[in-house]
Amino acid sequence: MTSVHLAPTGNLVVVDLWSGEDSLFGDLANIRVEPRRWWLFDPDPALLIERLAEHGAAAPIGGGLVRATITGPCWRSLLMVAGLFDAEDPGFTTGSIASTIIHHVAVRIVVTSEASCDVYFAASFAPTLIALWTAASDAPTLTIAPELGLLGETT
Amino acid sequence: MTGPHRIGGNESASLRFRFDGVDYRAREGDTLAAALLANGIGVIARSFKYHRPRGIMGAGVEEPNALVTVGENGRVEPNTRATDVFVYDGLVAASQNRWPSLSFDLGAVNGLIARFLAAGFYYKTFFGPPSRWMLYEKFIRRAAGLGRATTMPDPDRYEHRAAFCDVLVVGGGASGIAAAHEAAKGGQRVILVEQDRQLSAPAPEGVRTLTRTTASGLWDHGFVTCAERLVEPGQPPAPGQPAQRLWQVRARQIVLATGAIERPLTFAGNDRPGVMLSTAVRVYVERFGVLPGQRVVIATNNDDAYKTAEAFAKAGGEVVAILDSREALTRVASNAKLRFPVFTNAFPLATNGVRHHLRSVKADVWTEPVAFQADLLAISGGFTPTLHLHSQIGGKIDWRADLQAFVPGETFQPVTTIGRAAGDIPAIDPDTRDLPDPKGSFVDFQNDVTAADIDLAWREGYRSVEHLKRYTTLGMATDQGKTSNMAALARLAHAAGVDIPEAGLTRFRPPYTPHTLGTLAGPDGGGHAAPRRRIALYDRHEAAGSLWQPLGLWERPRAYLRPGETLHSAAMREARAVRTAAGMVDVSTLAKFAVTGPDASAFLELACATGVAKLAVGRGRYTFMLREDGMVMDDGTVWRLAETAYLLTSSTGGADRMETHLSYIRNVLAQHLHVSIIGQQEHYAGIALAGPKAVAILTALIGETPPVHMGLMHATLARIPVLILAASYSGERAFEVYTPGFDAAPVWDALDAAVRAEGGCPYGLEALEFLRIEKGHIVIGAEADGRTTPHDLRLEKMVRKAGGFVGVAGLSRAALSASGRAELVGLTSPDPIPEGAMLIARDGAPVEGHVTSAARSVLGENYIAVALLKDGRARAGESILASSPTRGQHARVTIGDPLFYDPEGARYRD
Repeated sequence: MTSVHLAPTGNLVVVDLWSGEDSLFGDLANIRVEPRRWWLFDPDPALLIERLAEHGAAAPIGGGLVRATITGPCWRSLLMVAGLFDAEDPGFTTGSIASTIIHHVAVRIVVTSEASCDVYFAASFAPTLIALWTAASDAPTLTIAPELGLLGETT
Repeated sequence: MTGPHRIGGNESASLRFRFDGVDYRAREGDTLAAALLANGIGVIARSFKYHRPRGIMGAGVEEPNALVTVGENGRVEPNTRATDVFVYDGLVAASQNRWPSLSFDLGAVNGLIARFLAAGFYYKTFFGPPSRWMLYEKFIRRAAGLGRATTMPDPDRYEHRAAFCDVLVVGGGASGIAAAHEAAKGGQRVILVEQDRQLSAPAPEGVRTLTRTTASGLWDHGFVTCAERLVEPGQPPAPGQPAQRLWQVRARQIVLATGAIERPLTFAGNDRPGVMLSTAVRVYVERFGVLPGQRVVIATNNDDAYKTAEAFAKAGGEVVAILDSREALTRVASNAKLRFPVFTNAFPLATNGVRHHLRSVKADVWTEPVAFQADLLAISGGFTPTLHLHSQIGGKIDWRADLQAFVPGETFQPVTTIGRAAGDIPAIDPDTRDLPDPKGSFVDFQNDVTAADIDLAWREGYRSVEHLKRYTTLGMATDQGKTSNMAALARLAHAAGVDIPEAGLTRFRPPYTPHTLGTLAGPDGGGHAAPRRRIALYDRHEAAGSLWQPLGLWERPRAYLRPGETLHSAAMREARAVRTAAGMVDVSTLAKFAVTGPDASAFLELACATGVAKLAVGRGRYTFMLREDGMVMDDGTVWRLAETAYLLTSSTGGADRMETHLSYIRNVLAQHLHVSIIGQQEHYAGIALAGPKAVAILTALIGETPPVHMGLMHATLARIPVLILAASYSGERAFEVYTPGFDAAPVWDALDAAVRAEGGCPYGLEALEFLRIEKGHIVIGAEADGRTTPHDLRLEKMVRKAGGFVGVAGLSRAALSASGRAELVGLTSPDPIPEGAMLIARDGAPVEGHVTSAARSVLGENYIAVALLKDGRARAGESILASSPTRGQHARVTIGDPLFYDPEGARYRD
């Protein structure tokens, strides 16, 4: 059974580096979303400022971003519903990231394991994707963090 | 026994279904057509124009005659081919286009006046003043047409799903399965789609197989749309499952194994129930165990039909005669002649029947008339390769004279056609005789187009096959000419004295077979084909009684109605609260961009037409951006948060466009700059607090003095860190309070309580509109409509004189400073000014402009508006007419400045 849990992304900071080299992040949790753009999860502000120095710039976006954590054997199939991206490609493996559209909504998909992925999207679109996935033929079990103020706990 | 029946009896049939109110039984796997034949029913429908009784001609999607309505209530699907519906327990179907019954249809009177209903009848008859059409239409729509769509809501869900593969094989026949097997063997990702419920052989291992799925649209770059029926028409889907699914397949290589469709022969009475395609007869006998008649005459011009004779005889039927139009016996025909009466140089001339059933076939055998008693006539005029998908993507078409058929030619797409679709079909000997009765010889059965109609169209000057199609309606409707195209082309070529290829062929267009609208709509059914965006404070507005207004994809509060209030009265109350006390409005949807880096100033000076670099840290200003042609694209505010960090805001509706624009500047025009542009539209929720009591309210909430007008500060409100920008859109002292979206609710609650305590209230877009019109602020899309320059909008004094911004070159064009341009003006009137009204000197005079936005003065009695008016700035004091003839609204207005309230700006300065 596939399950989806929606929650605020939390403190997520976008970092653009002029050089495109990410060595200065060290142990900061990050994913590369564009050639010169990274997402950093819950970075220490002072540490980030110190490391960035003249190498780049940062701005937060977590205040309106939702993360849907999809777990289960059918997560790839679920992303094909009203999708445009080949989530079933065997080469789309752990650590892969895709920027694509699902049912008109811009999303970023991060493969976190063979049996799970995270899907990030703007919070305003959450009801749209909830409705889409709830109505899918292989509908997952859905839970929603109360901070989203959407439908409450939904199964 | 005569007529159609189940071989060995229908006793084992276990599925119940109803047709025209009568209950019958069917076997698992029966199509509705097979089940009806098994129950002895040969008349299924009435024809489109003449209401002629029609039976079943084919056994697949090519069926032109047996159209029925399937399902009940919201699941009604009209014009469904009985040959393409598999019976399920409880299926309900009804015949169409008949009254009062299928066997006795008063509409059949049309057949008696058929000679007056020839091609172009409507064009020749129903003309004159347009108003007359309103009269004609009622009768035409009642007399013509097929099934009726339901007006009840569709209870089912539909799904869109993407799929990717290396090879997509269309068609589950022998060729398709072989191709899929080969591709899968090589380790490729393979999808095989088949419109039937079953494949001709077991699916190859490693192949994703989709049955009951029709590849109906082939688009560029390997994109194929396939419609899958998860349930049959009218059948409720399993819980949680959609009824149909539209697969959007992207394939590196496409293999078309779509087969070929048998053609009928053209002769008098060829539409009579009991006349059936030869291969269809075989399918009913061999697949469904149904004998469509007891005594068959087979008319053919090729060897394939002899297989039908074998199958029919083996099933216990009598082969009365085989009429082979060829003069010489082929080897196949010679062998058959040992068992069946085979006549060469033989053609069907006409059919006769009793009570809609075939009784005899009149034939021409070596120019001698011969009659055969038969209840079934199986006809084969050769085969037409199914090249619809190949044609849809612009594949070339080649002519094969031996087949008298078009076959797929060169294509520039990764598409290969194989098997019967590629021309692996029996050769035929074309029939070149004159038709003795072209008026009774049908070419297009579904649209009641006869050979005489084609002849008439030719005589009336229709030379192009495209024109012929539209004039006669040939090849239209649900079958899209699958059985009629080649016969029609042959007739047209005959009339023109040319070969068929010279007559031309119409281009096939998607879909190959009809789709339900639900399949196309997918999950958007019942709403707009776009998502709705929910603002962060949705729950708060909903609880406050928000009347919602769509704005782009967003829904925003338009006003908060109290009992007894209209929209206007509520909005006016809210606006007056802002003018006299305080109000708060959700501005979360504004576009926001963090512009950061050592070159942030340089970037903004490129993007914005106003000065930015000299802005002090902690200050902001109004700005606007131009397109490269010099027109105002968007506007907003820019704030210097730190030496190298700015926040740029712009309009809600233009947010996506602005993000694209800034990305273009960053990545194309200014790659050398060290600057980062990050969209923060939803990171920050925004609440604007405005009114003469705004300073006091905010001071109390944050515990310190709020910033001066166009200043900014960071503070804490309701224990939430906030960014406060002192900007005014309403004309009052105002602040925009920004906080991360997920933290916005406590901030709203605190502001709401404080505002209400001071006699204020939340306000919506309607009040916002009143307030900004009074201040003459422009709105993107209304005043800045894509055709206006900064000068047109009275913004020229803010344009940076040094230039260097996007749009400055376009702005220098002489035409943009010439006289005669539409310029922003204000209008006043004692009467309501219709929004959108045209501005004219008097009735009948040329239009000189239009009212872009209108309102009633918030505290005064006058009506005010802003407008774009030709040379408007020089016409202050002039009186003109604002006229909206479509609404019957008019107002005499006086032209002035578009600033009706506090022109000095004293109210938003401390």
